[in-house]
Amino acid sequence: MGGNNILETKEIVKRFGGIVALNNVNIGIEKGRITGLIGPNGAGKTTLLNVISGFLKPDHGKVIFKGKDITGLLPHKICELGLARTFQIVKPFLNFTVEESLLIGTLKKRSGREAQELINNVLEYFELDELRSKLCRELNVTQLKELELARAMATEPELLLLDEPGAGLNPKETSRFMRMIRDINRKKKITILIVEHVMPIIMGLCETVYVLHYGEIIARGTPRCISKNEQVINAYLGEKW
Amino acid sequence: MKPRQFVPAFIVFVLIIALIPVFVGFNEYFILLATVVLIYGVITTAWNVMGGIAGQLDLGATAYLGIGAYVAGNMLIWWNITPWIGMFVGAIIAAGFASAIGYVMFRYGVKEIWYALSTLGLVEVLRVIFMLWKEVGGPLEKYLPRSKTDPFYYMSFGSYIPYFYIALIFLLITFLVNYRLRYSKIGYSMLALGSNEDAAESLGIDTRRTKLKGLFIYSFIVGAFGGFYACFCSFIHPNTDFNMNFALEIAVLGIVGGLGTYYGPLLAASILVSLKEYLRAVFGTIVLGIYPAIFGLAIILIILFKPEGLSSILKNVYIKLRKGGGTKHGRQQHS
Amino acid sequence: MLDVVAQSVISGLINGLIYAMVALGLSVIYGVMDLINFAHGEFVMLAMYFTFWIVSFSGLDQTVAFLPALPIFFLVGVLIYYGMLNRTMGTPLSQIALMLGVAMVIRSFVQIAGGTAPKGLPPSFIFGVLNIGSLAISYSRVATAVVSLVLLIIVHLFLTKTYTGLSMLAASDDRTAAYLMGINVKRIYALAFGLGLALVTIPAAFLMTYQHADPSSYLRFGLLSWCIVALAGLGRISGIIPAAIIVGIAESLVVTFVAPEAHSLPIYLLFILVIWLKPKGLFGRK
Repeated sequence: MGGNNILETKEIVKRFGGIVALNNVNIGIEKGRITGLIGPNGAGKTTLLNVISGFLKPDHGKVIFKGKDITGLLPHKICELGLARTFQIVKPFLNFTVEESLLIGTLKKRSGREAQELINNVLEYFELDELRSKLCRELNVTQLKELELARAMATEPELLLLDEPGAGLNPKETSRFMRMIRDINRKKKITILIVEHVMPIIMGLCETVYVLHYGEIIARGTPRCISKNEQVINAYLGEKW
Repeated sequence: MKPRQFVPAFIVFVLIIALIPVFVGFNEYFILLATVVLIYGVITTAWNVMGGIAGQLDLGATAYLGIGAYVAGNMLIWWNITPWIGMFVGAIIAAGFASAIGYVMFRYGVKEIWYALSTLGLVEVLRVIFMLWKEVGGPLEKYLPRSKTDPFYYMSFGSYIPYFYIALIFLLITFLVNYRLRYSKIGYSMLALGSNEDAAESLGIDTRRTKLKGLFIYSFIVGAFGGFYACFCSFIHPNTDFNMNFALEIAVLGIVGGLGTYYGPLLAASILVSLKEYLRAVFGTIVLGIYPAIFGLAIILIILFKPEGLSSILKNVYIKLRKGGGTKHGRQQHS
Repeated sequence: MLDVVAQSVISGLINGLIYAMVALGLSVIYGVMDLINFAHGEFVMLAMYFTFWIVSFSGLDQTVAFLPALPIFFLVGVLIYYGMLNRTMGTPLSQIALMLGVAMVIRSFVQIAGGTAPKGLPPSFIFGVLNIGSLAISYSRVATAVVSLVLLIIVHLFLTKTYTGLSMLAASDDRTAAYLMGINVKRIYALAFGLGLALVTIPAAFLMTYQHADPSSYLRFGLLSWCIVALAGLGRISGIIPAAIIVGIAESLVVTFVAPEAHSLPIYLLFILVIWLKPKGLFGRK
């Protein structure tokens, strides 16, 4: 794997009881790029994301972030190092206002006026200004998804892991979300890993795609390459594509 | 209530409570009742740090209360050390104990219902241990030494008034701690943790440390208060101090009061404990045991019809007073 | 010495089997609804009083006295579900507070209706004592243990072999999926809560063949059941028996060799350790 990788996983193995959820997974995420991770439901995508972000400990293998071994660190430590994530099912702070939600992300690194400035910037960037003092429980799912992305951005990450950002959005909202993600990558120079099973999102955004099938990486390449790969079509795309 | 209205409201509130003995004409019985309400208020407000703000369902309030009571009580019995010092030592030991247990629990990811049950189990374990540990506990009440010449040193007063004011001071401190916490960095971390642990963790909040901090503050206050509680009861006994039902009542009051606010638990304690003591006084001798039923019913009704807790009533009244009053009235006149 | 240990273990084993039946109702409710019924001990106590009243008024034998109580408890369970729990689904704290409220009402009711004095019944048709060496175990306890085993097997079969039982397990695994499969989750929960309460009447009736009921019985049975459920792990019926036997034997050994007052100590210590170290229970699913 190239030396320009911000994140690498080495021979990750994760078992749940007798089931092997991840088997010898090696991926590398190039700095500054958008990388995709696809695979059918139950392939172990979210498990891999949880291992990388510290929510699960792998049974074997290493996670290297910015050249540092972060295997087994707690999620908050990993976040502090500059790796933020979103969740497949949004996890809002229901009784918080939008502004307060963003505040949580800044607590570790900033305080006082600096934090407020950062929050204001994020609010503006995501066009959430009008919602700033609305309670999260009053927001709809699309707004919550945007807020979750904004919240992750408030931690000032270098690498952003997005777990199925397209889930629960209609096509119009999806394309808006895709634009937002591309914008974050280009303008804010943030590396992104997207986990998805909706192909168009991956096709439109990613430069490199990994395909996970039953816990194993079965292919890696450009989206165009992947969509022509025999094995991938058999494993996954065949039915849906 | 945001910080600006807080100070005047707080002063009014303190004055009203402080004058209760005057309102009831220094009637010892009513002052006793008021003190009992304050005792529940202090423990529930302290519980709120862990249970309400940090969102961890702790059912072990009396584990820390009991430790505080036994430390201060035994220091007085064995070495004649004043409870004023004993309270402080008790607080440190209770908080140290809680932190040690908490460290293990949070390390192993004990949460939600399992945290609730293990803290409740802790109360019972301690009760049995102190029942068996004859030197410091045992099945007989251990009376604390009293002195007519120096009641202050022994914290043994002939009237309930001094107890009332000591409890009130405790309440004020606990209340201020809650308030300070609510709008601080740690407070926000705690609220986030209580609201959604995974999300908080993913945003850089050290949830284990945050829980430990909450547990430490809560057990420290309750531990210190244990020393007072022992003196108030004038004896120590495992069933009185390590009482599971008491611990459950505290948590229920906290929940009924409204989680995540700093005044809800106190509100619930004042209303429901007054109701309870009133019922006990009225029905206590006529029909034994009816008051817990009414108390229980009150809790059920509140949960069913005011699920956000009693504090929401206060909030609504406050909002109406601010907005309502003039404008609403005005609008009615126009239409 | 060995003799004493053996006797203590046998006695503990029998108790353990009985405890398994006491914890069964709690386990069903927790397993299906993910709800800890904080009033479980109170319901056990209430059922013991019911047995007492039924036997005193009708002259029925204890061993069948659960028959009239069972449907009543089932109905109460269904009503509590629709009236209270259904409205607070998804807010576990409120549910706990609710059940504590219910618990207080039951305690109160028992005290008012039954007084504070312990209530005991004359022996049932099962009487006499089984002698194993110098150990004497009453036939009532042995019979209760046997009934417990039978009941556990029946409930296990119900949950794994009948459509309703399987729907309950499905609802406990994944609420949304169960809903999509056409299972009426609310009805299943109501049934589970009713069943959980109804299952309390059988152990209560058999406990009354050799025990007293008093207004503080709830404490012991409640905590005991929670410990067993915690040890057994996520509401698995099959885990209850080994968990309950461990609890019974640990309790018995401590009573024999440490002090009778300490009987609850090993249970809670075990309980706390298991929660800390193996939060899915000793016999939880993989």
